[in-house]
Amino acid sequence: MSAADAGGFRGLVGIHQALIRDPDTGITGTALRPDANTAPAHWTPSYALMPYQSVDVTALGLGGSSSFNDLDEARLDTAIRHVVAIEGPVHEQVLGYRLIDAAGVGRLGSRIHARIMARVDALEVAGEIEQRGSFIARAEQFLQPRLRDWRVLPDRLRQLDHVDGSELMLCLFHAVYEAGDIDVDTAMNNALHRIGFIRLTDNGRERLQDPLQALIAQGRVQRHGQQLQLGPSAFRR
Amino acid sequence: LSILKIGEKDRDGRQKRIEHSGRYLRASRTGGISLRAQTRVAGVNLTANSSHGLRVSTRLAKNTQVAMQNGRFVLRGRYGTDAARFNLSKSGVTVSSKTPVGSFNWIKPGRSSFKMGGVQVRGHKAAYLQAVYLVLAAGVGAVLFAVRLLTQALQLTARGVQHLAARRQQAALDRDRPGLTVADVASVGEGILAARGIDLANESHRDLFAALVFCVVCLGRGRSQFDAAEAGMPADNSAADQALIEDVQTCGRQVVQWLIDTPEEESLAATLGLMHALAAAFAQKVEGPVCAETLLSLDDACLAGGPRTLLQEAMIDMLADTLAVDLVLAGEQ
Repeated sequence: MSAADAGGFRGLVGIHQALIRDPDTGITGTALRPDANTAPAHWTPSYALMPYQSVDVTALGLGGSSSFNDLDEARLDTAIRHVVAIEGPVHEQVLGYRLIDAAGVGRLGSRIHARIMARVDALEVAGEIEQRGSFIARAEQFLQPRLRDWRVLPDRLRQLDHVDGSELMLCLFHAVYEAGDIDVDTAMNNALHRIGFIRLTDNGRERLQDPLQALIAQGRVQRHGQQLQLGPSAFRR
Repeated sequence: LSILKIGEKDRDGRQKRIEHSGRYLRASRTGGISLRAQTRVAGVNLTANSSHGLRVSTRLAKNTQVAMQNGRFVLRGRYGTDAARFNLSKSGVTVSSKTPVGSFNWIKPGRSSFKMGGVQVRGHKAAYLQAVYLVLAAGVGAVLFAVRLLTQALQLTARGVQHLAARRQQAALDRDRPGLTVADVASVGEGILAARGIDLANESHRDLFAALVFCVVCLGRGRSQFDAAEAGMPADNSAADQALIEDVQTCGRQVVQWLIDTPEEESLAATLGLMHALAAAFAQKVEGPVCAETLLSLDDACLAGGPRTLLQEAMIDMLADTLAVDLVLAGEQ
């Protein structure tokens, strides 16, 4: 094969992309990448689309009390940690629903909500979780969110307002990644459709503005007029 | 319609015979001017011609016609293909062949025809002209054949010379190549990794791949840093290019660290040994077709930076074994 008809690095780049899209799990080695096991320092994309994983409320151990306010703090903290571990970044409303379902309480009232948020604040002060606006997660969950399909959730929970900005960044990134070159509106539509929201509403457009700006600022995506393409730092780890 | 059919082509693409033939009037160089009328009565054709008199004709069989013309019986038949056409008449059967300039009758040359530039000639004159044409055509054919023969002989000679030169070059390359096999280097690579407590099975396929690229593309050229431009990557890197560059640079730095303490005399075996270990670990994590594609793509990438070095040749050969890819060279069965 001569240099003229060789594919250069095209073949290697193609294989590398396929490996990126299909990451192997359970990797513990740091010999080739010393920072492989450290938490990401910045927002990093993940690639596998998975169904939204809901916490098993019966495993939260909040049953048996006559009133939610009678639950002791330790049990409540453990339950909050567990919900955040499974569903983070999770909206405070969704967290509340999980906890009252686990406790067998019918309505998420303002006093219950206030109590939950007080424990969330305490856990944040302890450095166990983080709050960003209405969303609660471990730090690494904000930095490397999972691409989740929200179709599996009931309507009460499947609200675009319950999806964190970091997750919206991810679905927007994937929309651009899949298309290569795509206009902003179509990218937003595809992004939401991918995670189970079939209609791009004005609210959806509004919510996606900040994630889009964040992607552009990080160099993950670049914008030329109304067109979006992957940026030079698209796959930075 | 053109005047006297000038510019009109027959079914072989030649100028039609120059003549006028209308519904009732025909005028030609040899036949002069004649008037003609034709009708069909009870399956019989009746033709009246001012030059040839009255003619009564009918079809006897396919391609066979019988007629009475001015009291004279006519029998005509024409069968076969252009190459050998059989012509039937009262006097017997003759055989003729079509040529690019008319037809030549082998039994009765006087019944040949010759046409050039729309001027048709028949009879012995046509036979002579056909013979002249055949001699000229044979001459041209012989010259063309000789030229073709000579060209093929020259091509064969050139191919032979190229083959000999390639064999000599290959023999020289084989002499200069590092004569190391997987068996020679595998333990060296394992030793380096073991000394650092590294188990490549714990590394991701993405990083193993990047490190493998570094070994072949960079170390194979005696370089210890991956520079995209030097390696032959395009200047306008895409996001996907950039991702590969960053991974190769990151993993390459680690590979260089592993080799840094290796004594000079063992550096070749150490490089090949590490490359083998990386490739073996990679092959454990991906499917066979990915291994084959990786090997071919590494080969392409080597060429992007210029002709392959002897070390890169040896690496590609060794990787075919490690990745269990069966290479069949072009022309081999």
